[in-house]
Amino acid sequence: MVEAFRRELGNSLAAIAILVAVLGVAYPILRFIAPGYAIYLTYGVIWSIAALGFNLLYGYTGLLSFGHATFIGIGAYTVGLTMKYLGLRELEPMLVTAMVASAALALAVGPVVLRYGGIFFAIFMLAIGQILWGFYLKFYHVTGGTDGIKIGRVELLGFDLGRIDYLTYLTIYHYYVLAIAAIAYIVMWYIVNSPLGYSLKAIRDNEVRARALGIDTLQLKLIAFTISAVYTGLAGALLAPLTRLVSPELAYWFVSGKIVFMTILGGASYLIGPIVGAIIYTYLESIAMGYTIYWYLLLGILIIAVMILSPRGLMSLADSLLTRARLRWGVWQRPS
Amino acid sequence: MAEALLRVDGVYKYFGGVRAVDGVSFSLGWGERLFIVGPNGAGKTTLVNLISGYLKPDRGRILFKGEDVTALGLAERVRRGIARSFQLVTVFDNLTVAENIAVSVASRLGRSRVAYRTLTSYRDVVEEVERILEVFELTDVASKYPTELSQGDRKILDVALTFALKPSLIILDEPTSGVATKDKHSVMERLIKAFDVTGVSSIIVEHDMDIVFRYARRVVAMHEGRVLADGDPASVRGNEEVRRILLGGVYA
Amino acid sequence: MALPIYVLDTLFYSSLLFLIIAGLNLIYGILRVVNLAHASLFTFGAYATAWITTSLIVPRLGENLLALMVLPLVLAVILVILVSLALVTPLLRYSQGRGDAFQLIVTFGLLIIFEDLFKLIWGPHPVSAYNLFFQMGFIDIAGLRYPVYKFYVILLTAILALALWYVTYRTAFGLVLRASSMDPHMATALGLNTSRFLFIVIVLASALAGLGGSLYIPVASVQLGLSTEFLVIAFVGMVIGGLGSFVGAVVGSLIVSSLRTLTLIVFPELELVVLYLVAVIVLLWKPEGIGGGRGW
Repeated sequence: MVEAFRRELGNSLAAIAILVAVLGVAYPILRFIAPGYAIYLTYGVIWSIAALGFNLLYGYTGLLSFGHATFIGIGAYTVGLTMKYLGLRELEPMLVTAMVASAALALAVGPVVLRYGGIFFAIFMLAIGQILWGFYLKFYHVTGGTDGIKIGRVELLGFDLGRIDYLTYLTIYHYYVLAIAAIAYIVMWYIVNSPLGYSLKAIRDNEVRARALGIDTLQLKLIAFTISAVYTGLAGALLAPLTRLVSPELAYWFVSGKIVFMTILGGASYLIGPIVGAIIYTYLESIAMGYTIYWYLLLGILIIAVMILSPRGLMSLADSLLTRARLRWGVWQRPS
Repeated sequence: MAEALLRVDGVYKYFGGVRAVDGVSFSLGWGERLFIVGPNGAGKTTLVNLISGYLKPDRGRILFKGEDVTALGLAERVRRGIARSFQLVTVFDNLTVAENIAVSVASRLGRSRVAYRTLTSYRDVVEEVERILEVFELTDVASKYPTELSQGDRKILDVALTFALKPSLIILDEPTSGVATKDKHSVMERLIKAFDVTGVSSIIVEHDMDIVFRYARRVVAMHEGRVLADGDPASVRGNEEVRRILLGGVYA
Repeated sequence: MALPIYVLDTLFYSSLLFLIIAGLNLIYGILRVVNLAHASLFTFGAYATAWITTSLIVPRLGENLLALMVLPLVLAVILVILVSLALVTPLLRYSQGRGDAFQLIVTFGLLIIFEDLFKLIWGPHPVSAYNLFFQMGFIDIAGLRYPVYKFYVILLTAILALALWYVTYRTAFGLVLRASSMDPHMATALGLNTSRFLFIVIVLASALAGLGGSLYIPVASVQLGLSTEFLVIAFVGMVIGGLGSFVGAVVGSLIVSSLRTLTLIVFPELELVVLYLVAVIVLLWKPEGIGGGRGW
């Protein structure tokens, strides 16, 4: 009977374990063969948390947000402001604060922006992002304006890492981030396979019908929106120690578009699509930026190309390759 | 008779100058099955909209389980056990048949918000999904997506979603419309069998007289917003007015 | 600020907004798409006008008032139309019927392509061309010097809005426009060449945006990021006025710019917040917008 509940490629704890293992093993290898590129793996893992949160809303609930940079900004500025004004250095309480702040914002604006859905939601989110971006710029006596807030070394799990060499600090930070990401991935696995996850998919497919089945669709969308905000806020907070500078650029509208693209690149209808997309995007960006200052132009073309040629993303390509292999050799059973 | 499940008491609904429902009264017992027939524009769909709460009557009362539900909205009536499905099939196309039903079952059990446990880990949900699949003969297609189903199976899935809410009264608006002629009987047969097994009351709006007179035990014939006849198929068929307006002599 | 100045500034800014919102509403009305790259055509018009003014007109014809008034405007609008035909039109037509998400994401792609095209062609620094503004001079209003150029823009846009009103309510084309914005299948039902109709609508909308940008540049400078700034404000105007309608474009642009002019005096940091809150209030009170709900 349970087989009738079909899970897409990569929607399993085993797949998540493999993914986390790969992201763990790849780091020392990269440090060895291409040292300059190792840090982007950490960036990729952080962005994957943001994209995963975004996709609970987009891929699972059918709500496209063009303003998720809002929560990246909330997360990053939570770290920046608490370090600057409270002198806090332990990261964990800052992460918790960032998540709480993101949830609070989501709960405050959600009931209004979620009511009308579709285009309204997309652009209202864009507008909220622009408002906060404007705040970071205009209230410069608090936020430092364009100069932003410099971030010193943080303490992780109570350990003072101020005196170790920077590369070791980065390595420790990578595994710290990966551990948090692993938890975030597993929690997301539970969410998408839970009654909530299925009900969200139902809302995505046909909201009117879901309501007729007695589902409080607005409430469920608000829950999804809040979880989504918490994930993205967490990612924003984790970014700060790595960028070492919290500036309005982190909350710019372009960042929202970036999160959208990571997700569609990996595949919005797959649990691990956004993770794969975030890692690949981060490398694409870092490599392309080495060759050209016209990354927007390239990215714009890429976005349009992916939407036209492969709207279901890279995971769907992998999926159809596996299906073809299974048909040919008849041995490959997809784990579920 | 004990307290009826549903009592429609002198209900009127006008749209501008059009009398869509013009003083309709009838009652429905627990476990009873009622077919509503009539030509286009007879007010059948308006009537079921009034009963299910999509419309409010201009005059008259609707009692459900002895309580006046006339002023209650759609959601509240669903909670009290009135459920309906529409002419057009609306199911969740990117969920499998089993998942579709599970969403509905989870909603009924008040679990739509649970995020920390997988849906399939709920034994009661899975068992109920299995039972519903069996009752509606959908077990073989449980892992298919609705787009891969025949028109008839899609229709049955649609009704099964509504059925999973365990309503006391289920209202179907032309369940066989859009189904291929050769499948109409089997679709209706499966629906009715499922209803009989579980004892749910039903109101079925139907166009196809062949189906009505084969499966009905009680028929209400409507014309221009009024009830022409109400009774067992034989007496309704025997009614002079019904013959003239509805049957055109075919079933004479 | 003196009241007459406030009123004039509001009218000036709402003229620019109207030219953007009218195009957004036209496209939304007919294609049910919010084109995220629409304000980029406004920005393109601004860049192109600055460039034409400073590199073509002034070096050859000097500060000739008539030449400054006509040539940059006409040439820039032609350029905007060409760019729209090359990039925007095919993409909008392709994305029709592919869902909100597809349209939004694809036009977002266009938006960032435009951002880099601007950087590629005109560089990262602000660009301006105040020649026409100063050539037109100033007059005294309530004891203050007020630029004649702003009158000119207000007048020009008013004439254009009237023309648009005439086309909408007094011509056969306008009838089709209104009918098909209420029901997207209407154009086909009326036996119209749908693809040519869409084509005309998109080109018209693009031209309006380009014109707006062209009229904007003599009073300000254009820089990267301007498109999203105007896009967000224009969207707020769309929501307040009512999505997809001509009256909505008029009402929306007037309300947004009067609010904006006011908040810029009182508390400039909260400009967007105020606009946004008003949009939310309107949405809760009248979801179809103040001037909307009846199609274009």
